[in-house]
Amino acid sequence: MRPDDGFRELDRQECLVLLVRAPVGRIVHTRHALPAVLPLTFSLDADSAVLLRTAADSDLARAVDGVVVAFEADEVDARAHSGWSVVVTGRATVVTDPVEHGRLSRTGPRSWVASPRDVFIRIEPELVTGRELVAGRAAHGVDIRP
Amino acid sequence: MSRQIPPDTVSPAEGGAQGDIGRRIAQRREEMGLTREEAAARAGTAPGYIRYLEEQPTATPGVGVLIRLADVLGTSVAALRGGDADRTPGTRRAARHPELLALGPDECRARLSTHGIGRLALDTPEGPYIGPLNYTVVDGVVFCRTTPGSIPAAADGARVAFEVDHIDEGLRQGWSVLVRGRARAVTDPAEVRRLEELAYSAPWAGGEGLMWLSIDTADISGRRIRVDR
Repeated sequence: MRPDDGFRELDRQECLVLLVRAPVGRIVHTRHALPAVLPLTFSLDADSAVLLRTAADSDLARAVDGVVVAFEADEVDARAHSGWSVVVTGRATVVTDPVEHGRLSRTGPRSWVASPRDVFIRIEPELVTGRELVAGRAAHGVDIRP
Repeated sequence: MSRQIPPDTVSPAEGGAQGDIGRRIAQRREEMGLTREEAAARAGTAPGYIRYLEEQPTATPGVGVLIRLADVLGTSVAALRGGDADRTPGTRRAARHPELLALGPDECRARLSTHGIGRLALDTPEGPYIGPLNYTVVDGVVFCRTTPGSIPAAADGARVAFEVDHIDEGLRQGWSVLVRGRARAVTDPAEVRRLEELAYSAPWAGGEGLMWLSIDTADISGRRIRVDR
């Protein structure tokens, strides 16, 4: 990720520590040739892959299988002008192996809306990037707020 | 929404969160464009009491007033208390009778409200990008402020997605609104001046030389998880 305004870049470990505490994240994918964003509950697998759960017949499962996607979680405080944002970028695959599906049914994320048949989606943590905004500070750590 | 970074230690929700109730109330109230007087009138309390809650870190509002305030502010008591902050994500079971409902365009626009924080997503040669930005809505158009040369700034002319959501993990419900359209850099100096005057909040990083991006909201959709109790 390119350096940006007032953000400090976070290393992979810092990113994963923050990510594991977020209740939901947002997956970016392409729908009808346009980017789309959908918030979902998630969990992290032992290898830090992002695990999602969705209905087997959902648009999402069709749209992301085999495609590189971005998955973002953040926590922002508009008043304090502080927060963080973490993005995992990697290939998404729908889990088809029955043994793996069984394991994730027991240990993976639970979706908030029940569906008759769920599938799990794995996003490989190929690139894990994050930024922290230090309150009211610009790129070089200089406090420029009144 | 007040966790310190890095979060090496997990504090009980009650502990550090108390003084943050006021900040959360103020934040939600401002997001909804309500004055203290308006919020007080709707919640059946006095403006002075809202001020007290917002400004006194030691304020401990009763559940009754919190419920009414949460209702007025379109949020939940759990969220105002920050009680959902330290929960392990995604591990709780779904609520009893959750329903996924589509939101109509008018309701989507109402939930975008006047300003807040959303996430801009776009395709780049390096892959999909997403990041949070402040936004302001003026005449039905979403405006975001960003730094020239940044990835969001490169969205000028591109088809983008802009997403706003409110998730209540405590009650396992929430909503999200998705705007998809072409982003344009605002270049007319008069328009920029008007936006500067109308903007509700300073950009996160503060600072000079920022630019505005506009995103048309003609393509707007949303969904909400409703829980019957």
